[in-house]
Amino acid sequence: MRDAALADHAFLVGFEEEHLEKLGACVAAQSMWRPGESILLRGGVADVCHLLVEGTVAIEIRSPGTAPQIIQTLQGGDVLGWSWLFEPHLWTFDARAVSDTSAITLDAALLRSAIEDDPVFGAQLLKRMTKAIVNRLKATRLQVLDVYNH
Amino acid sequence: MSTTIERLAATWTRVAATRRETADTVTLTIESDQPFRPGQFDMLTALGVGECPVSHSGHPRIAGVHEHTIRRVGAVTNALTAIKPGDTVGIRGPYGRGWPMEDLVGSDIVVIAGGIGLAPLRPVILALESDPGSYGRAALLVGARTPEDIQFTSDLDRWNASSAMDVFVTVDRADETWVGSVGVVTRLLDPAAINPESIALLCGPEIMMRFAATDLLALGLDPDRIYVSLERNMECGIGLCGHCQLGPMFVCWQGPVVPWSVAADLMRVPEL
Ligand SMILES: Cc1cc2nc3c(=O)[nH]c(=O)nc-3n(C[C@H](O)[C@H](O)[C@H](O)COP(=O)(O)OP(=O)(O)OC[C@H]3O[C@@H](n4cnc5c(N)ncnc54)[C@H](O)[C@@H]3O)c2cc1C
Repeated sequence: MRDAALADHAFLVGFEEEHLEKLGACVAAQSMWRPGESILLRGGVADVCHLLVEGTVAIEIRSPGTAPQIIQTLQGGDVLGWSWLFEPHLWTFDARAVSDTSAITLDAALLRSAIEDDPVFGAQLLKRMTKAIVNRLKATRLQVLDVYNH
Repeated sequence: MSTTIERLAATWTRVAATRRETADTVTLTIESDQPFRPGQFDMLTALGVGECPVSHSGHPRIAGVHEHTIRRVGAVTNALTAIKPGDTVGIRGPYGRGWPMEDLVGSDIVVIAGGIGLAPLRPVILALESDPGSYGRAALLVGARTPEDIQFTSDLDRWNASSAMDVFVTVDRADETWVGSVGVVTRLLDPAAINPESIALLCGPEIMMRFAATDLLALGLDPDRIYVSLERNMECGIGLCGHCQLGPMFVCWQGPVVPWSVAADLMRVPEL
């Protein structure tokens, strides 16, 4: 089934019709969170992938005795969560809604088998995931350099 | 015509007011009638300590006062940020080539500032604010280390409330009380929806400017319409000593503001 919201999502610009239909079959829910609500918890099972539609999400890291630190914020158009791709399929960070947030939630098990079943679909999806991961890695490297402190 | 010695002589001037921007940054309001262009800098001297280049951060069309915003990083800036109203400061300038103000007229503008880099861009934004009808749509993208390090917060609030400008702010790190964006300044380009015909003005750490210029080029901006301010350390300010030399360029008088078409090669050479 073709999902209009999926076709309009920035992460999927240029995705072929046939692949959009495959992805449509993996949609588990349209999700909504209120400000402050937890979306992912570190150590939890990574059984979904969220395509953010609207709102702001904070990716956080916690260490005992200190307040949670926000590593990055994501917005509508971003993809939230890639731990579902790799074993042991557990979230490595926490994610919390900062404002009213909505997302198209994909079922990770269905996604993984769709990737295995159709390598062309798999390659297209993984290319987009990799681009998002590389962009985030580039951004994190710059943040770690602490450029404004020199 | 003034002699070289005269051009290197500082005038001792009264500091009319000081304003703390952040824990390590202070704005000095100095009495001076000397006109300047946005992007130009003065050499400021702290008595008995030394001299350093500091950009103008005030309104270019308000006569009688200069503003300079200084971040404390070493001996001279430490002394300058400790100055009290009524103290005197040595000043000579203005020096350098500023932002291309004439080219901005009628154009959409994207301003990208990182850390203390907002200070040299503030005169541009104040000029746009005073005369919004002369310019196209303006977007201001600001990056800072933490929420506490964001400079000119009351200006940012005012600019954000004005219809002439869209303001986007991000920080590198924050705790859970921060409800704004966390991430590098280039992540703000998407929400800002930049017109490829825009003129871009960039000031901040060189690595930030390099990343921002690369992303702007990918969005279709012309390298001759992306301007960066190369704030290399300098001594004389008038192209004599070679302290600020970057390849064939004396940044103090051929810069600090240069188009990306010129800056790209200079910034790529590691030993420069
Ligand atoms: C054209 C121009 C405009 C400038 N405008 C401003 C401004 O508006 N506000 C402001 O706070 N500073 C500005 N600077 C930077 C300022 O001149 C330096 O921070 C100052 O010279 C440092 O002197 P210091 O004795 O306090 O520290 P130093 O002991 O000389 O240096 C302390 C540390 O700061 C680093 N440093 C020194 N100069 C620079 C520089 N130019 N860029 C990056 N790192 C540097 C040194 O490498 C060292 O690590 C400008 C520089 C230039 C060239």
